[in-house]
Amino acid sequence: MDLTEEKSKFALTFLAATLSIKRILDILIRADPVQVFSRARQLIGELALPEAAAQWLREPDWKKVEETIAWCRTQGVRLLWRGEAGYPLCLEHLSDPPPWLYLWGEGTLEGAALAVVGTRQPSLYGRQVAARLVAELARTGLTIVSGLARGLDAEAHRATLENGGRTWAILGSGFQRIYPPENVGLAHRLRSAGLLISEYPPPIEPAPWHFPARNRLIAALSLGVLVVEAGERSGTLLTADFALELGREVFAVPGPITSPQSVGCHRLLKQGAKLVEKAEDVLEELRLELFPLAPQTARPDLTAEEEELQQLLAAAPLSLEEIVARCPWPASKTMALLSMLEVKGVVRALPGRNYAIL
Amino acid sequence: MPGKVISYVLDGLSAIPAEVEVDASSGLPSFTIVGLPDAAVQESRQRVRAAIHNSGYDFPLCRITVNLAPADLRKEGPLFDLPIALSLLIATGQIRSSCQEGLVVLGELSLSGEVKTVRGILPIVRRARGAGYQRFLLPAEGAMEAALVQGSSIFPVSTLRQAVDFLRGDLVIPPLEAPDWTAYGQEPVQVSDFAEIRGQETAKRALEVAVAGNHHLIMVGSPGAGKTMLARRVVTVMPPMTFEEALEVSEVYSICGLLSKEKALLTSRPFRAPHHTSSYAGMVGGGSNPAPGELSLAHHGVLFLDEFPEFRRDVLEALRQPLEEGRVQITRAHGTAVFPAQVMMIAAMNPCPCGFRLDPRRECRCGAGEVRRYWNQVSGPIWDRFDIHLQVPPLSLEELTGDGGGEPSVAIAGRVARCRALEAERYASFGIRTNAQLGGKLLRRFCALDSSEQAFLRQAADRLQLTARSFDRTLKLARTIADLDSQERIRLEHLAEALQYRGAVDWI
Repeated sequence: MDLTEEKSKFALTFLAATLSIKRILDILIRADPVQVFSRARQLIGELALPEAAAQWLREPDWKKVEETIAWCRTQGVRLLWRGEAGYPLCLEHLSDPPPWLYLWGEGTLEGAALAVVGTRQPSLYGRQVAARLVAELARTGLTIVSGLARGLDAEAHRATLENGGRTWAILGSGFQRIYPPENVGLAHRLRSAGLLISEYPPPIEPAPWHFPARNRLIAALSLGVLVVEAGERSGTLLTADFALELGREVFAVPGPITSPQSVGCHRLLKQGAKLVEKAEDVLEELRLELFPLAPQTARPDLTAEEEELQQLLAAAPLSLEEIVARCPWPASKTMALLSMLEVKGVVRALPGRNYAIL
Repeated sequence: MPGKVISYVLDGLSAIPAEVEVDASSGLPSFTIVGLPDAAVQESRQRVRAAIHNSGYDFPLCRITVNLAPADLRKEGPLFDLPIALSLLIATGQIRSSCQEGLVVLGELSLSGEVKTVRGILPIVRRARGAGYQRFLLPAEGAMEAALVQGSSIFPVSTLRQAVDFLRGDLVIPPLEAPDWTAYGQEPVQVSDFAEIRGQETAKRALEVAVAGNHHLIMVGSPGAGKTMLARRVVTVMPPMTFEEALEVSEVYSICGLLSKEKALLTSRPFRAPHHTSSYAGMVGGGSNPAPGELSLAHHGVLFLDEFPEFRRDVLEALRQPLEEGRVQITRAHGTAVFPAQVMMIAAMNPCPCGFRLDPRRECRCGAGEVRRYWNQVSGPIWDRFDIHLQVPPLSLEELTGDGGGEPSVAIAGRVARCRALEAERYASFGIRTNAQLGGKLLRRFCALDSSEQAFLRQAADRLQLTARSFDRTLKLARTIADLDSQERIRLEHLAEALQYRGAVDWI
């Protein structure tokens, strides 16, 4: 059989579905990608590989591999191999650096990056804070890294896009199986302003053990990890742990002591994480003060009434009903003013018809 | 000589005259009914026999054949009892009269000879009047329904004896006096009022807009937020029904036997709240003998669907076409029945299966997958029927009711009525009546925007990621809001408010 290097490399990546990266690295120490399949029998014996992986090494599904190669070509998905130009050095800090990465989107894996992560079930406060901090950070030119999960991950990506920043999303599944489904649209918008990154070939489904592995990449690719909200036992805290192991900075946003979504952040703060109230707190710690803050996009013109409404929302997000109750105008007018602020990009609707200043 | 009496068959809302012929000839004694009778009509043989006997007339021992013409139309229900009995008495010479000519007879008989009321008197009399019949011999119990039809002479009877005496000319029954319906609508009997609801200002405003343009609306909110309370009060701000509308609604109730005996006309708009376990036939209408469903019972009123996603999928899908066309069409092997269904649909749902998502009072225990499944139970095309998506915030009971102080329904109703009149006038020559019905060309024509408004809407569509459908919905709503404001052109603030009623705020 005519086994090109490209084909065997793509075929190898499918091992990620059945083997940990550590064990794949063991294989790659003993054989280069083209040899792996011809020496399958020997490798399986030496490394005592589990049956699923052994099966793939003996008889890869070449049809699936070829389809994947074709799909990647038409979609412009790149397979970046460790050791190739553009493979970020910071990944070498890991004990198990990914032997390859699938990249989909604009740009390269270069430049200063900051991870912004948080719970999948944020409070309104969490959403507001995430959007506000990310908006400022993204404007400094920092790349915002996150995991495209529900909740604050998605919030971080969205806020970056809205502010014209650059963002990377690291997935726990292949590009044809973007998870969670409600963020598929976000993922595709994100491609034009950053990268989707995955260790898994496009057809691979998400699996529970993919996500801790994904978290290690989030930590490794960033200078620091900003935790906006994290519950008691959150995957987010795992990312913070990886960051500590790798010597990255850990930042945490404080919240109300009564909020279950802030328990994890407060624990990080007690352990010495840097407390973050504003973007400068992050930039200072990362010695990035010199990054010029891009000029704030000109504040839109607001009428006196819109100004008043903005003041009301400045402190905390409010529900529509509360806003109407506190404003001197009839409900119809208040709602109209809110829409004006929304369209002018000053205010955002949060789930359940709550509103917050961006 | 065979006896002949005119009666009527009801098929959906259309009524067809049926001749009841009885022939009594010599032969082996028997009593047969031909002409596609159903079980209830077959059983009328026993009732007729006993009623004739117990009223003191002769039930002849001979070969009796009853023919219900036209013979190819199915006949249902007990309304042929009285016509068969009278026809039989004519055939056997016990009544000698031609008084029954041009007289329409309906009624069920009891064994003792009492005449009982039947369903559908109002639609039958209306159609028969349209077909030229003027005199009706009807059960006294249901005669008030018939009196609603102008220009008819109604002769109420309560026993077979009275009916026979009337036909013989021995008894003069004065035609039923039609009640004076000119005073109709002057009696606002409202059991509830918006004034009783404190707070919920946004919800009240949204409901006002919804009623003004007859827009369908869906409310999302935790249990106990007051969704049902709000929905129940919507009928109190709708403009009063015209006499013609009231007749249409009463007809549907007449078929279902739901009209009251004393006051046959429904004067307040119907509010129907079917349970979410309702069957297809219960909701849309159906059965082998098609009967109206909840959709038609809510005609000219409000159809309130609580726990919206819990309704059976096929039931929800079946609502689509009737909502679009304003009528229900039920097709059966032997024909098609049509019932009216111009309703304002108000749906209510919880934000998640447990109901407490984003409720500060209680923690939600639903997983993201569960929540999505819950929302996905409602298909996209059904979502698109709702012009207004309303979120009802959780309020405590004291906050909700308290000592009131809200705007009374009458005030809101006044604004709504003005707005509806404006719409009716504008669309008089276009075959529609309300803003909710705008679409395609008419939408572009009546919701034309000036350039600054256009720019704003385009900006909004971009920033808020409006789909083409929500774009159109926003325009329609803005039209209604402008009408409430008595403005000919749609202005910026109208569009801005309309944007607040869009859907697509994620709860997951």
